[in-house]
Amino acid sequence: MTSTPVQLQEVVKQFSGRTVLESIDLNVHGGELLALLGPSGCGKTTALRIIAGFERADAGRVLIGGRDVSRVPASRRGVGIVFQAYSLFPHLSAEQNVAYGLAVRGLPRRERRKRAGELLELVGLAEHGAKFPHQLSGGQQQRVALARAFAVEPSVLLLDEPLSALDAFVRQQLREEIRRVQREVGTTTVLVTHDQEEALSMADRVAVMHQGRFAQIGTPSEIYRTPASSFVASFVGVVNRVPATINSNGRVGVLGAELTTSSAHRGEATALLRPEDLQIQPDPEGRALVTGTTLRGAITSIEVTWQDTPVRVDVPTGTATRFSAGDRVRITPAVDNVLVEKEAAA
Amino acid sequence: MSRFLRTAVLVLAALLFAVPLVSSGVFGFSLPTTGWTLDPLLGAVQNSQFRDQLLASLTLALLTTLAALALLIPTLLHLHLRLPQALPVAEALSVLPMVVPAVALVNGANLTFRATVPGFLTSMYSLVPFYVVLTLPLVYRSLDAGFRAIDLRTLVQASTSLGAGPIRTLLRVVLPNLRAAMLTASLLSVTLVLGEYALATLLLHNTYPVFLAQTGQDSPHAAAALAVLTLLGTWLLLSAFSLAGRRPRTGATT
Repeated sequence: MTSTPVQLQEVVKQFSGRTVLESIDLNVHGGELLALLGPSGCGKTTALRIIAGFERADAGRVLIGGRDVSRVPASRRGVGIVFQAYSLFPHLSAEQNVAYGLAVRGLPRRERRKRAGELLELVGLAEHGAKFPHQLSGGQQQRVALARAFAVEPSVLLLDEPLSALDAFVRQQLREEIRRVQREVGTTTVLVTHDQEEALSMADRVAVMHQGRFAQIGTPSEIYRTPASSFVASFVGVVNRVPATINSNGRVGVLGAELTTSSAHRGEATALLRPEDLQIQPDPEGRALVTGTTLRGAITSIEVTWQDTPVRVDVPTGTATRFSAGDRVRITPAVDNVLVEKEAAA
Repeated sequence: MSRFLRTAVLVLAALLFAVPLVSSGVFGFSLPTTGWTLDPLLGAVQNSQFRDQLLASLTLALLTTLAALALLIPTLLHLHLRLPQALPVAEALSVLPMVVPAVALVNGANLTFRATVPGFLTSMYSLVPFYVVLTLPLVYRSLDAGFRAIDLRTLVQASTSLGAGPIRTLLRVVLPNLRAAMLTASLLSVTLVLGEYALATLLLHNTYPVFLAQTGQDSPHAAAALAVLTLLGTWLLLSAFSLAGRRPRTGATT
């Protein structure tokens, strides 16, 4: 079992004068799976490529297992990587792909074949070793890529949006598969993704990136339940932006209720409320009006307007039949501490 | 376009291509007095210069192809990986040999090399650099298409992350995936050199096309027969290259 920590210390990166990473610090604990989550252009892939050695930081250090590898070439960092694009060598069979890194290390042919077979079995492709990449599905190709990366027993595994090219069903399957294999092998893993569901369901910790910086680093639950900023709240999950007023005692009035907030701001503001943190009741005297419903599987979203502000409330689909467009309802926040933005909602 | 029109165009094109070829064959393998015969051809191939000049051209074709591949593969690899913004400039430069007439190239070479390195142009191998320049537009395009057809950056980075150095990555990952493009480039280079007459004759070197031209003056029947055989040989070469460029369809073991 490998449990090598990875650290980025004050790493800066610029491209053509544009700062992509603004002196970031990151500690990835040994054996954990950390997800770098953020929108396109936030710097998450650049951070991953700096760890891999494909890019060199303009300033700062990269430490793998406590060793400064900032000047070590990619081929000697002991880092495995699974790419977004199918990166299998097209002229080699699945087994040969997995064995490639072992051949580089000079392992005898028999050992290479044995180890490649074991790894293909680990990812559920023991029967497909003789097939070429063009004979495998997208999901199978990424499984082989995962086995190939694990073959060289890397101290760190980097996953660069490995599921983004796959369809939803295969993506879900492979998410669980990658997590299972990563836990089994115990390799420290950094996953880059823009898919919040992927990050929250796979990672031990999530680092949300925004404009070259970390907006928040925490467990998936911390990121979702107690977002550090309105950006994190909006990017991870869905939020309603509702007009609010913070009085001199620090209490925030929102949707007719009074709640606490940790914000130091006073006066007009915008409260950020998740759809599942709102309770909805049929009430002919209610101040909110149902404008529509959207079935999302296990939950149904009830769209309402509250004093001209659109608000979404998520309820279990079984209870959603009580609401239909045109109904008057009462909505109540069901949270203790509410996140607010200084700017008032438009 | 109607089926009839498509067929008519196809037949017309086939005739346009086949009639001169068949006519050359008939002319080359027959004599007015004796009818069908191999005599003019046998007479030409028994000439000792035939073997020497064919061998010279084959050697030049081989050396030119190797030199062009050795020059262009690392160049294109570097451009695609490190300087993709320079690719349009490189592409424009690669067509320059097409706009410089062979006569101008030879005159320039004569003026430069006879004054600076007098012995250089006397060697037959001095044709190789000129042929590399001559084949540059076609070889460049074939290889460039090959590089564009693969996800080069990802493949190189995947190989690097598995511990491979640049040489191993080039030999074990890049070149195998460029096989089809390299074969096409080689075929074009070989056929172009085997048919190149202007540079060789202007620089006073005896190559196979020069032999064909000289034979044509003494025995036009033999020259026509040799030309038809040369064309058939090129077709066979093309087929062989095409077969060799095919990707294996079944699995292999490590």
